[in-house]
Amino acid sequence: MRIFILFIVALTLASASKAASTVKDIMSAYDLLEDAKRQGGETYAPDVMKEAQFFYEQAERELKNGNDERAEEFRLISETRSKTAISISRKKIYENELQVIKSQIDETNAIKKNYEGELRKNVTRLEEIKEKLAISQDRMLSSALDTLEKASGKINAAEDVSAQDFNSRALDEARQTYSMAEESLTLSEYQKSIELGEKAIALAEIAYEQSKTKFELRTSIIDKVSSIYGAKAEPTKGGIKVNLHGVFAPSGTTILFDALPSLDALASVLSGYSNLSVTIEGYATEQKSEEENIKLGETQAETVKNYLISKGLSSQRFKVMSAGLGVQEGVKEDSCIEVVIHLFELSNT
Amino acid sequence: MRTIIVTTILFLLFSFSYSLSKGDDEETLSKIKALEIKLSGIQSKSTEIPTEEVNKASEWIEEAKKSFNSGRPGVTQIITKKASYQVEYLNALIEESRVKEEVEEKKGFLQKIRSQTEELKAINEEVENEINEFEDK
Repeated sequence: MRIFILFIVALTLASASKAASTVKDIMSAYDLLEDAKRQGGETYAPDVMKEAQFFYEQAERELKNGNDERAEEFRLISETRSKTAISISRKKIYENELQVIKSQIDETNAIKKNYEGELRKNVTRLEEIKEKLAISQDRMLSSALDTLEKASGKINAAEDVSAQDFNSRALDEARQTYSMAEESLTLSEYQKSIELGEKAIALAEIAYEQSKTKFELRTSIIDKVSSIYGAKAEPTKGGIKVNLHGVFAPSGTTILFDALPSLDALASVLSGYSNLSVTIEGYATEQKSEEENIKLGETQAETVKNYLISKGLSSQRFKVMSAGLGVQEGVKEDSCIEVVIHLFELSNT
Repeated sequence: MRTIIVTTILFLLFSFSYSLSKGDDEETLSKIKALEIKLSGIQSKSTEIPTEEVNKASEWIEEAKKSFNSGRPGVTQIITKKASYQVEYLNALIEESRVKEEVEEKKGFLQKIRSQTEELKAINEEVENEINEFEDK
């Protein structure tokens, strides 16, 4: 009897355990169904969801009717359909994502294409600019070389007319500017070199123009004076220096007879240039003291001046000086007279 | 006479019922075979699907066959339907995997063309700067 009761209890427990397991499985089917809903199953796979729902309800009904085997089958079918709906939903979500990505690809491709076009255009433009620049650089170099050559020619021309004597400032500036232009050329600064070269040309031209007339005048006077006996003419920075020897006897103050033709010739030359001022400077000999030499030099210079005035030259043109240096440097051996004809200090007469 | 007529009618009904039953059996069998072929195709096509799910389909087809052989048409029909849905689920998984793969592929492609675009943009900026430098000279 005991054994029979135990058997009945065991059977009841086993049956209850099995029923509990089936209920638990049914719950898992329900959870899966809910999960499918959350993942958009009703939107993306409505038919499959209806089937999942239908089979779930069937399973519940069969379970209630005590038909566990059928309930299990329907539960499995319901779960399969729920999982299918989830998979379809996920696929749809991926498809939507794919559409977004495709449209992003299209947009990016359009931007990329745009950049490609722009780059192609810019590269072409850059090549053109480089080509133009290379041509321009060649031209600039050539132009700079031409300018420097011209500047060099102008400076030479200015030097030829002794611009160093007549406008040394402009000539020096022209030379300096020319050097800077050459330096710029070696640094490939062609434009700067051209500008400096042109400045050097302008300065050299000024030096040339301002020196040319005076140079010609000086040359002409030197030629004429050089033909006078006893006279030695040499160019100076502002005019001509004429040395007359043998005009006086040593320490004498009377013009020697033999010197008169030379002074007459000098007066004749000076009368041809009435607007030029003249400085007459007397030198003494080393035998005298400094004071005596100064006085002697002045007297001699004054004597020559008076003689020249007597030949019709204006007294206003003359200035008299005495070197009177005694035994110091620069004293002439034979008491010469130095006549300086100034080219710059033109008189008003 | 009545007995003969009743017997004939019963015979005809039995024959008709038998032929209907036989037709259903053939249809169920062909369905099971079709499922077997589909599953075999799926197995050869994809390695992405979880083996557990493939095995389930295989197991249920076998179950359907056994049920059919044991002459339980009602149960066979349910098990066949269950196997059929499982195969459908496998197909859905394959489709999902395919689209997912395509998404990954396109993402990679998008990343690639984005970086190419950025590269082009940077080069273009360099060229533009060079042009500006030349034009400023």
